[in-house]
Amino acid sequence: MSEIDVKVENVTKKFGNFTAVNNVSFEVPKGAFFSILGPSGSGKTTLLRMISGFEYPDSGNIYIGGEIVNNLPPNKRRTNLVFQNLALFPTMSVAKNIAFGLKRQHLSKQEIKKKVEHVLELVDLKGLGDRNVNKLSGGQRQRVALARCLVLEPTVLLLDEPLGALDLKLRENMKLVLKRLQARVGTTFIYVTHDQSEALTMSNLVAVMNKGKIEQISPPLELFYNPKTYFVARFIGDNNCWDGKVISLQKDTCNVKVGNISLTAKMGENISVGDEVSIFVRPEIISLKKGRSEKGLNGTVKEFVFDGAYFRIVVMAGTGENQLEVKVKIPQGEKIPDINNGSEVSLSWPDGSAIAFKKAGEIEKVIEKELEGVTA
Amino acid sequence: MRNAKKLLVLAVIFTMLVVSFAMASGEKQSAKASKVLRMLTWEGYAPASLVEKFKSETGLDVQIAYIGDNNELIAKLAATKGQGYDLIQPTYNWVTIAQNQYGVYAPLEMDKIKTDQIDPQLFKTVTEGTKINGKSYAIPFCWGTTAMIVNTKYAPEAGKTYKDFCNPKYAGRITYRAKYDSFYMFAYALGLDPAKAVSDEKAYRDVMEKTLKKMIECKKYVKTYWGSRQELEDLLLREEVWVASCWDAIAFSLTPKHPELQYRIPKEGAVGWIDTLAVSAGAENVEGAYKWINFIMKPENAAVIANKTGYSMASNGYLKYVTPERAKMVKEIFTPEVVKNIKWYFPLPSYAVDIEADVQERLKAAPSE
Amino acid sequence: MKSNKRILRIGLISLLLPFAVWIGFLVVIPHIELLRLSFISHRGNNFTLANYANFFTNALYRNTYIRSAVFSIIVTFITLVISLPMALFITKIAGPKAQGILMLAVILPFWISELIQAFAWMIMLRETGVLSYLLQLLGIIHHNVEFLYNDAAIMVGLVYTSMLFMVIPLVSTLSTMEDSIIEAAYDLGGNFWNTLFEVIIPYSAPGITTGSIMVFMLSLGNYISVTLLGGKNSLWFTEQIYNQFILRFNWNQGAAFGILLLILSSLIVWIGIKISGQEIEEVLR
Ligand SMILES: Nc1ncnc2c1ncn2[C@@H]1O[C@H](COP(=O)(O)OP(=O)(O)OP(=O)(O)O)[C@@H](O)[C@H]1O
Ligand SMILES: [Mg+2]
Repeated sequence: MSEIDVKVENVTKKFGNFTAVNNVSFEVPKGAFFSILGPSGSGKTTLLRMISGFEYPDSGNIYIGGEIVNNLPPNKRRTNLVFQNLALFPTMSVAKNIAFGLKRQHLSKQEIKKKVEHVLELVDLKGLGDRNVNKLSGGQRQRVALARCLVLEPTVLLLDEPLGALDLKLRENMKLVLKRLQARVGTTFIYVTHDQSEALTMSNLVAVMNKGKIEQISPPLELFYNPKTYFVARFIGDNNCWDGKVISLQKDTCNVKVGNISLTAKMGENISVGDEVSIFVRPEIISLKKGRSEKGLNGTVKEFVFDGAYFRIVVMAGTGENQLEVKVKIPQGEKIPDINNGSEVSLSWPDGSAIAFKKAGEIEKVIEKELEGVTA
Repeated sequence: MRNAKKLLVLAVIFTMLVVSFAMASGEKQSAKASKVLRMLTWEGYAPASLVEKFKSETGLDVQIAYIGDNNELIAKLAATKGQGYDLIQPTYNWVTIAQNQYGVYAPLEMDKIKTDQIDPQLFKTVTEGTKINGKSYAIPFCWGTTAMIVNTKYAPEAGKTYKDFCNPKYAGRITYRAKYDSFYMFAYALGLDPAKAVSDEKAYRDVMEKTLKKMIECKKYVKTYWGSRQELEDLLLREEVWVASCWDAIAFSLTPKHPELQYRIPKEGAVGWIDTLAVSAGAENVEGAYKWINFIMKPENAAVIANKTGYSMASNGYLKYVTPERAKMVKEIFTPEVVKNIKWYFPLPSYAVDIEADVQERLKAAPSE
Repeated sequence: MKSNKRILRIGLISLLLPFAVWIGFLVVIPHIELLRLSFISHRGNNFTLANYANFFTNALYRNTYIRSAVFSIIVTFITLVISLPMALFITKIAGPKAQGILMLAVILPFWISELIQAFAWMIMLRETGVLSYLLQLLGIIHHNVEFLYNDAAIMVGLVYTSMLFMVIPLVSTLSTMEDSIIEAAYDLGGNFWNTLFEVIIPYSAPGITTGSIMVFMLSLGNYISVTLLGGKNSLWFTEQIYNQFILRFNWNQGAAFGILLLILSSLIVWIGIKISGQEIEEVLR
């Protein structure tokens, strides 16, 4: 895991006055499944196009396999791109689509044929080589696009929201196909998406991007439980988010008044007394007991839903005007206390699993919009 | 249901509109026929001022359709046997062929024509030459010649013989038409007589083949075969050619401003054409046609056309009414000897038409070298 | 419901009637008449195949047709070679504003008549013309040179007059092609040429075929540009048809030539389509 396949170093790209990619740096280790996750318009495609060579950075460097490739055209780079709209050659058969890149390498006919057959088998399209690409299903087309790139054995395979055009069920299936494929061929993948479940299920590393900047690069779980910015905490998962005011500070925790409840949270960044902050607690980490208790946060169950994988429970904590809405998720299979709507419950979470970030009004709007899209 | 009905009503209205339009325009034409004189003629032969004058004298309106050449004229008439036109102005040598093949003209009633207004020499040539079964079909209207124009700056010596069209001294500076007039010029230059040979198919074929051979030989010296007056004038004025075949009327309009361009009639004689007046076989207004003939041949009226077109008229004494310079130029160029030596275009039997078309095509298809 | 449909159909038929009449009178009937004339002997009025036989036995007619057809094929090819980069530039490189201006620049010449276009080319190419003048100004030639009255001038004129009919179909097919397809070709290692020949040209094949048919037919049927620009060696097959009708009054021979022009040219087009491996139905669509 020490070898680095792609290195992006202080890369900035502007379109006129608009900065699409703003001073971005990251490294992708060999063999990684690296995702770039971010809301629409955050600059993901632009970044990917710079790596593949369709755009050149205004400043900064891009290395592939240790060499600077800033001004190398796409056909000279050891990268291949699976386009957002696939961009299959509509006049060619499946096999010809796949052979296009091989022909450029001056291989013999037999060799090309062998490689095409092999990759077709790999993506589970055996026997469809002669079919015109227009006569394939969505998922099949998807796999042709993949095969067309994989057959060239690129150093890095770049994928730009390749599942965007598929319907939900097919997308779930293709996620697994992709993940398995990557594990099998071992090629480094850089995968761009605005769908966090795609990023989280498939990747070793996820870079969260917002407004041209990278907010955090971490393995999925860490992103989940240890967000480094307000944006990440807010953007990843269906997080609990409560707004309040800091009343006192300890070494690395702070006390925050949320309505008339006082909560303790780890400080995600530099915070001073009097700051407006948001506290984030993962719904999955909250434990729920029937009845009231001294230590925990007490409330009444407002909603109780089972969605097949999780029990989703909404609890109204505290009293009076400033009641707090708490989302709780308990995986199916775990023991569920015997509760109904209106039951009295007490909630608790491990120390350090609540994190506080300063509120950022502008980001709020971006995320609201994005989350709307996800739930819809 | 509603929509369907609407559509139907719309369709019916539309169809009725189309039909009534067609009928209305048909009616208009026949109602006006006897008050209108319909002419098929050349640009400039019926100027607006004369049409106005004619209307005030006779009360007749004149409708004019123009033609570009005699082939087109025949094509227009042949389809309808002359119907749609009253008065027609074919070129003299084209009258009999159209009459023999398509019968588009009516025999002239000479007692309706004021023959004393017409040049007797030309009158005799044309009425004799267009006689079929003892009846004449045309009288002369105006005439002109085709000869040579030379740029005296570069080719002062040229223009004494048509052989100059094949003179290497002027290679690449020569232009003429790929048409019959050029064939006649070359034929006369070779000492052949197409006018005499034309009455016999074999003899005519022989003359034309010999001429063609010579013209193909000379093709390397031609810059291009000119097609339109505009083309010829451009070539001459830009001094891209020095020696050209040319109509006298073009020369008359060029020489006053460009004295280096001189119209010259070689010793073989100018080739001459006569445009005529004829009455259509399908004429609806025969009286009107004769009225126009007598009107237009009055010297003062003929002079108007002479001034406009640069052609010479078959009207007696018209030169009294043209500008003095013009009268002088005409008298200088067309001396009695020159006029006597004019090689008039001759009527073509149908085999001659084919022979000419054939050699013209072969000339154009032949390689230059 | 049924009567409803019938009324609709009657309505539709009566709406289309004027159009059908127009097609009938101006397209079908003249062609039938032409066909009839072509089988009648000149001045004889009896049935004959001689008018057709003449074409094949007379080398002048045959060669003129071959020359016209070969020229038209070359013109079609040149027009394609010029129009394809233009269409690519218009659809793939130019911004929306430049796109409009460029399309206008392509269409504009067709608002003036072909005669005027030909005269404009004469002014450009003639011995004392603009091109000769400019080349002297640049010191490339040292005295007037004639560029007019030769085969190349004919080609220039024909390419110019028919360019639009190639550019428009190309633009319309290429504009449906997503840019990412070209990018994909580059990404997979393609260069300009194999992207052009393996991706862009196959994609624009329907446009190329439509455009080529139009340009070929227009060039073969041209009269004005050819005679004005070609000078003394410019015999074209249309001129021979014209000669038959107008010079010889031989409508029968002219009709046969007209029909032959139609048949032989359609044959060439058909062979062209077959060679390029397309389906005729596809092209018609
Ligand atoms: N060629 C360009 N010219 C001008 N602006 C551009 C160009 N390409 C992208 N942009 C702008 O840059 C920003 C980032 O675009 P980009 O396509 O990288 O976003 P993205 O993260 O891929 O979004 P999505 O998820 O919708 O695909 C957008 O605001 C976009 O409008
Ligand atoms: Mg994108």
